[in-house]
Amino acid sequence: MVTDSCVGCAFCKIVCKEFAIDVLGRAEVDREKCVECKLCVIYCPLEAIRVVE
Amino acid sequence: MKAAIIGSGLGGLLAANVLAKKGYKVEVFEKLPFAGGRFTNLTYKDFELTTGALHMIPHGKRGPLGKLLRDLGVKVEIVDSKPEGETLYNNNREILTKKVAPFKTLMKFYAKSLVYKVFGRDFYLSEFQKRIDEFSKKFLDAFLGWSLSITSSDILFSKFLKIYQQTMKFKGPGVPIGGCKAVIDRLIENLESYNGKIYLKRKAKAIIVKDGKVKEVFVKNDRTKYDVIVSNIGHNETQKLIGKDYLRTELVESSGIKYSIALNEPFIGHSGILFTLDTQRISGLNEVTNVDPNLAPDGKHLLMAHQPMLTSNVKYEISLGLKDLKEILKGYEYEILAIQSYTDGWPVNRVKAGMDVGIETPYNNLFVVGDGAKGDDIEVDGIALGIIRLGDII
Repeated sequence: MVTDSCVGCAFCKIVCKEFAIDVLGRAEVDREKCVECKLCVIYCPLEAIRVVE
Repeated sequence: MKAAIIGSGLGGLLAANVLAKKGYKVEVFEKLPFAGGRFTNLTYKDFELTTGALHMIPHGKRGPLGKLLRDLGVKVEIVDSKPEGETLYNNNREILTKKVAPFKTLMKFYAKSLVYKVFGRDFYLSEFQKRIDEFSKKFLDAFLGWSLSITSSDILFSKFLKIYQQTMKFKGPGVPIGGCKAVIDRLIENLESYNGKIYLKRKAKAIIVKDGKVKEVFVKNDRTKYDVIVSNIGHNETQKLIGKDYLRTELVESSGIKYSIALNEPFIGHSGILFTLDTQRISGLNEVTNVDPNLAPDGKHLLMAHQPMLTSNVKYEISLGLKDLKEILKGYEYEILAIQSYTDGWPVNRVKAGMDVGIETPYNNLFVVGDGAKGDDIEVDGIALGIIRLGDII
């Protein structure tokens, strides 16, 4: 889940190995492609991404 | 003597090196899994994209950062751009020279400078901009947008004059070979040679103050005592760690958008800046692969474009930027690798150019460095001036 703190710096898109994230002012995760490796979560400088069960 | 550095961005690592050289036992705390903040590389499809900066040092190896790195014994190869820049105006490209503006406009600029120096009358740069020729007007917008992510109504003439003087003195940009990360890696190696330590994924949770001095940093579950604390996270965030506000004025950040573009053939063809004057938003572009081909996969080029954010509607700003790029790159095959916005807590600059409050705080052993406390110069050269000031005080 991407929260309101996301500004769209795209660190998550760049580090995502599955190419599951697209960023246009804000991150959007493709749940089909996401393997929940959490790389985006640890790279996000604003702690704006959370994994929801 | 022990020093804690909060944040491992360029400012934090420069400060760490300065203090280590002075004999401090230095510990750097970084919340993210990598060092370098908004001045390092992130690899994407074998392109060396950046976390923020444009693989460029505003005044190349001659400027404040280049000199500071040399003084610290940090060996980074910086290749000065040749030409320094070009303008794209009325679909016509022209190399930038000292005589960029018509004689009349330059004379007006000198006259205004004199009025400021003699009478101390200061005013916003926009007031000057209104009275000059169309080319100079647009060039000023492109220059301010590219280098500072601001417009002429954001900056006082006096502050712009200082940046203009720095640019005349040190000239145009340079590209660090290996990109931003090469600077960061060399700084880390140098710090480690002094036995300084960097801890990644360690977020500083609080700074503890006692008797008007900062005493301890709270990281993970430990409180550790330090003689000096340097914060690389800007005055605003530093206040939050202390739990008490000390600033009297509100700091305004600058926002912008960066586009990383893959090309099969060079578009700019050199390592200087192409200032775009025919656009709605894009201020300029650079193509650092002309000097360091390793920043892109074999045979490819990395073009980076930057625009300031003139409204708070990010999607609208991006739509205008993309429209500009389509026009600029007409006839070229290109792929947009990433669009990165910098605003709201993760900005281009934590404090807009010309509004910096300096590196000092009410606590005489707490300093703030980085783009939240620059000296009067562009981007990382402004950061270097803040660090030089730190070295003078400590």
